[in-house]
Amino acid sequence: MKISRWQLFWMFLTLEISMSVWLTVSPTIAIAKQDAWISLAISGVIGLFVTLIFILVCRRHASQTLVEFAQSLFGKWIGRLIGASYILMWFSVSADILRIFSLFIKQYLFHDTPLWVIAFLMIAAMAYINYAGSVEAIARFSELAGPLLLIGIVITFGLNLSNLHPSLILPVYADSGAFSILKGSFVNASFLGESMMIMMLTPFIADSKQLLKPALLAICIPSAVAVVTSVMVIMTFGTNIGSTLVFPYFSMVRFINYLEFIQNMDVWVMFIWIFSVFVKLASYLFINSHGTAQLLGIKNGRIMIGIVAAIIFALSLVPANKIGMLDYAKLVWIPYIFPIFIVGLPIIFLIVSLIKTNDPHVKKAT
Amino acid sequence: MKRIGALMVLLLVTLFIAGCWDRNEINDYAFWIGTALDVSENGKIEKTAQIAVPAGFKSSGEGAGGGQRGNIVISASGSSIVDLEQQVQDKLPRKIFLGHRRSIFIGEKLARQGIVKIMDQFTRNTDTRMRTDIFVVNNGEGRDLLNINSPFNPFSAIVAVDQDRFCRLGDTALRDVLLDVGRDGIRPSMPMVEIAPKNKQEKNEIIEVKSVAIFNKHLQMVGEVSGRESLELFWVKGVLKNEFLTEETGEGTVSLYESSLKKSVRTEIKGNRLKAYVKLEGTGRVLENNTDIDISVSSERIPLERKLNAIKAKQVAATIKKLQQQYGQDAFGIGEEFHREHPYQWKKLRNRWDELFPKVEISVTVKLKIQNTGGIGKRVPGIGERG
Amino acid sequence: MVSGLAHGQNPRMTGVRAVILFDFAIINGSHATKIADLFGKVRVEMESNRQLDVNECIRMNHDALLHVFRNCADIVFRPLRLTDDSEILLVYIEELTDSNKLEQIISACMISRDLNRLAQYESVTRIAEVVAKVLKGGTAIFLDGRPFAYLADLTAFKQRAINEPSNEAAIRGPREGFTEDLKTNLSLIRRRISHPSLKFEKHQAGELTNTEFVVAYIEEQVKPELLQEVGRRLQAISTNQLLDSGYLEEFIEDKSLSLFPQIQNTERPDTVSASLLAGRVAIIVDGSPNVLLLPMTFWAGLQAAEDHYERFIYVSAVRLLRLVLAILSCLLPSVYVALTTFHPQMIPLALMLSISASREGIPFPTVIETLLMELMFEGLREAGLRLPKAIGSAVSIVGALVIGEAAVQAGFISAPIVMIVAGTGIASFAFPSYSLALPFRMLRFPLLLAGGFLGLYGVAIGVMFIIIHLVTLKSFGMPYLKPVAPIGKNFWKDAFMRMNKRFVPAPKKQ
Repeated sequence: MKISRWQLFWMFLTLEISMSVWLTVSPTIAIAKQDAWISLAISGVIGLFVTLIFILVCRRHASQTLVEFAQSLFGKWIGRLIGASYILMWFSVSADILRIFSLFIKQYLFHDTPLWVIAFLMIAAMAYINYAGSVEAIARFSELAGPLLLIGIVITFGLNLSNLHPSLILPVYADSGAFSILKGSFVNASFLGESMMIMMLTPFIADSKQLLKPALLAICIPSAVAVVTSVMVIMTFGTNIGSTLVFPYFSMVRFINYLEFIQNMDVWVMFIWIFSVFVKLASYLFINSHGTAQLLGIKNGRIMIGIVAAIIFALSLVPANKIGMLDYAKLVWIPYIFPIFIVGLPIIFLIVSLIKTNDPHVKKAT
Repeated sequence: MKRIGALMVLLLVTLFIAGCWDRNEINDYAFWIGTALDVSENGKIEKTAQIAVPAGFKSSGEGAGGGQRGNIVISASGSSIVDLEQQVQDKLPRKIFLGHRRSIFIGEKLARQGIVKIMDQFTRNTDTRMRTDIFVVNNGEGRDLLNINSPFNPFSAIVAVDQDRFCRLGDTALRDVLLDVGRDGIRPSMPMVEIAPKNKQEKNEIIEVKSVAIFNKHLQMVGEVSGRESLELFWVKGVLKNEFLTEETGEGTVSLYESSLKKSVRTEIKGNRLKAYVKLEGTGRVLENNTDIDISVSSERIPLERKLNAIKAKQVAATIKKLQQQYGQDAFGIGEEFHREHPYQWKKLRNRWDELFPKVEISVTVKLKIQNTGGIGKRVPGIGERG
Repeated sequence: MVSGLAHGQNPRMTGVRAVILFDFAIINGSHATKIADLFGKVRVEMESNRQLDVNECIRMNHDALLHVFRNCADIVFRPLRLTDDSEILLVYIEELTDSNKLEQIISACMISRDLNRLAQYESVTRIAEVVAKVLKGGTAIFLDGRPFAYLADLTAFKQRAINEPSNEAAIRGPREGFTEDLKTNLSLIRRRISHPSLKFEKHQAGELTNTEFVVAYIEEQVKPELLQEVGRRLQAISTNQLLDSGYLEEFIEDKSLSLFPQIQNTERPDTVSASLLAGRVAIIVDGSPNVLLLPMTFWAGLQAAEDHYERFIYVSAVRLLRLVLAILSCLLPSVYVALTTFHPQMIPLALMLSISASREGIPFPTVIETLLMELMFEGLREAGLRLPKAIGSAVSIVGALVIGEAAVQAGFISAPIVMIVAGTGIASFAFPSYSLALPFRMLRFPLLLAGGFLGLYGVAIGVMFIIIHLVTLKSFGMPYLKPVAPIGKNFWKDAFMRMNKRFVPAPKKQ
């Protein structure tokens, strides 16, 4: 049950795109105004850099997951601690995403349907795919959902062309300045940093030595989509509406009116987009259950799927409201998780692994 | 494992059966097509809703016509918009549904008082759409407009949108207003509707869209321009796509249909003097030619074009002047042009723009090209004056 | 064995016992030995009979066979006495034997006494084998003083002519379809692939029916693992009856609880040949015109035979259309219900007002309304299927019209529902493969409920569950959605669309 590297590409593409059209655009516009697209482009570069580090780390430990190689690098207890903190972080992220997702669905599609129903159906599907086919099934699923999502997004971009006021993107740079642009870029960069799950997936990739191209491409395309989305949103709504809209891409799609018949397409886009959020959540469930099993030394990881799913479901029901959850990104993810888990620790992994593996070579040589 | 699976399936099934929290049959919805907002005598906001009655829609569709209206009009007055919505709901047997609201009419009295307070809910409710047309009702109440019975469409709210689209901008008006509100170098403007006075032939009252209301920074209506001037305003603003224009050349009138209209503005800051050069372009088709000029001959057409351009430029300049002098509001977005071209100086200008705008020296050049002379070149001999 | 068959005329009583007895004969497992104590006596008797050799004395043979074929009215015993008092016994089934040829043999033996001529036929020494061969239509010839029987294959029986396959008609391409006869079917395939590497492996299954079936493959093209897997699964079959290829399909398919067919079946020899050439395995069962093809992918169900004969651009367009229709046939009713009851802002105003107007005064909620009409439609279709051809189509069409029209007129059902149901029906007829259309027909109903109770989110979740099932489904190790998920190199060649053959190299062994 190994996946090929291009399956990994589709998997990452799908789960990154879901974020770049959903959560990142509006906060970036709020910070960087009409230069949000520059921010997003920069964040793409940051994302590429960070992913490069992940891949270098993974390449050195192709047969191990993060939980395992952390132990082999730092010894049993420190390694376990690092592994546990990653798993905890992933638990919190997946609960958070599940929560925002259900709130979003409730806000756009329903009014009175209880949140737990929406979340429960999602969790059920996540557990099912993990039981039935594990990461292989997730990869195949994203091979169907990814292209569909890309096509859907490109179509909406095309249909929106007639609503654009190109002059709204001007003046470039003057209004925001370098600091705001850079600050804005951290929002999306931190989301792109989710490619760190690759560190849990390498043992399941068939040709794990040649990950560079697909993984980097899987960061490039979503950031390109994010850039185009932000340009479109700014040209359609300007910066002041664009930054106040909570989900500007979907508002933009709703604004499309083509031939008086194709209108309110947001529900259709959402229909496909649900699939990509599902890929994201299912992958999180996979690495969480797999990681927990490894951490606790349980041989049969499948048993953990149900337990982990139940925990994520319970966690997602705890927080109070949508604002509190969006704050998670602002208050926890960007200031703590991004520098520590996405940038800091992987670099340390790389350095330690370089030192450790170089040692025996030196000894052998001498 | 199998048993857990079966349990899950059972749970899912019960979920589906128990769950129909948001289900609502399509004929249990009252589709809200148009809203009108007015100020009532005691200073409260009065909200009027035009609600679709599908049964009536059907019978009129079958040709019974006239007898039954496809809609009802309900009003309520109160202080907050949402409260008003609730009051409207209280008067209806079906659940109101805002997802298909096409237009909002604001009575002139309310518009002059300011509409800041009522704008939020148009964008906040996720059911409503941004693509809504917004009008000021010239010399009238929005309520009266909703009561009009148009022969083309059972909903006067939609008729107004169609009419606006056909001769001006269409249904992006709400977005455009919101877009302009947030920017310093432009002031919002809204199309105006009025109820045309009946004449002998017309049985029903008819909606007329021919003017534009101009707002200041605080979303209070300060004035209006109508007819040709309103089209010129939109042209300079850059949102007009095509128009009909008729000019008196001195030897007779010429009518053109101008399409692919463009504008470009160059700006210049010289010390304290602000200068803007507006250039308007378009290509046209001759619709009517009451002069003796043979437009198929270049040597005759080019002077005509020049003459037309000069006349048009003078008119546009006059319109701009009027806005600068009379209302002092930059509905054209000249300020935004400064913003784009001189972003750093603009930071000093932006807060004083309302003072500065009337003093901006604006020169206008127009370049209309006659591309198509219509079916004939010269006038058919014998029509008009014999030379 | 003899005692097992002894009560053949009363199958209900002896059926079970007979099964067990035959199990003994074939399986020598521990399972068999357990029951052996119970039926020990019978077993001994049977075993002895099975071991029984053909006796030199014709009388003995006659008696033994008479015992076996007791109460079998169709078995003919024809003792002949030659002029030198030596005896010949012919045992055969009249209806399965070519009487002309038989008479030739008889005359040869009787008149020219050319008994050596019989040497051309296979000689069999075991009685049990004789019995089996005779039942398959062979003619057993016993000669006095010889401890074996000649078995002449004079089989000839009435069979259906080769017709156009009615369920898989094609505008362009061969009109031949498989018949119920194994040999004819094999010849139809062999005629298309005249190469020694086309192998027909003969097997037999079903202890009571003794049905022959053939596993066909092209040695050069097929993956050895696939063959092994097929062999392994065929070995594991234990059944006493095999009446149709469908029986076999159920025994060897991957997931028996899946709604989707994991083994393709076809009546067309050209489809079988093309599949064999692509490295697939075919299983042809005697008595069934439906040949099994495996492994099956989802896309194979959306392809018609003539796709490969028509011009490729048209075919690609049609395949796309089929895919869209397939999706529609599954989703149309549920999406309609979800849109009208949950998300009316999706529908353009004018359209929605007319839907709303037509729903005025309808007593049912939209979900129930759709469900009713869909059920009615399925009922009509099922009824029409079994009726004689001439009446069938008329009844179903007229029935649908009358029910739809009358229900709308009476105000029970709104007109859009009738249109939706009709549209779904048309879409579901576009499947080239009948068995792939079945899951789509069925899945419509759970999706309809999901859409009716949770709107488009419910539909999306439902679709997600279906996709998850499809991506995890495998047919003999081949992912069901290949080459789309996982993406294979044949993606553009022959799945969604078909490329011109000039640009597609012929499939090679993978």
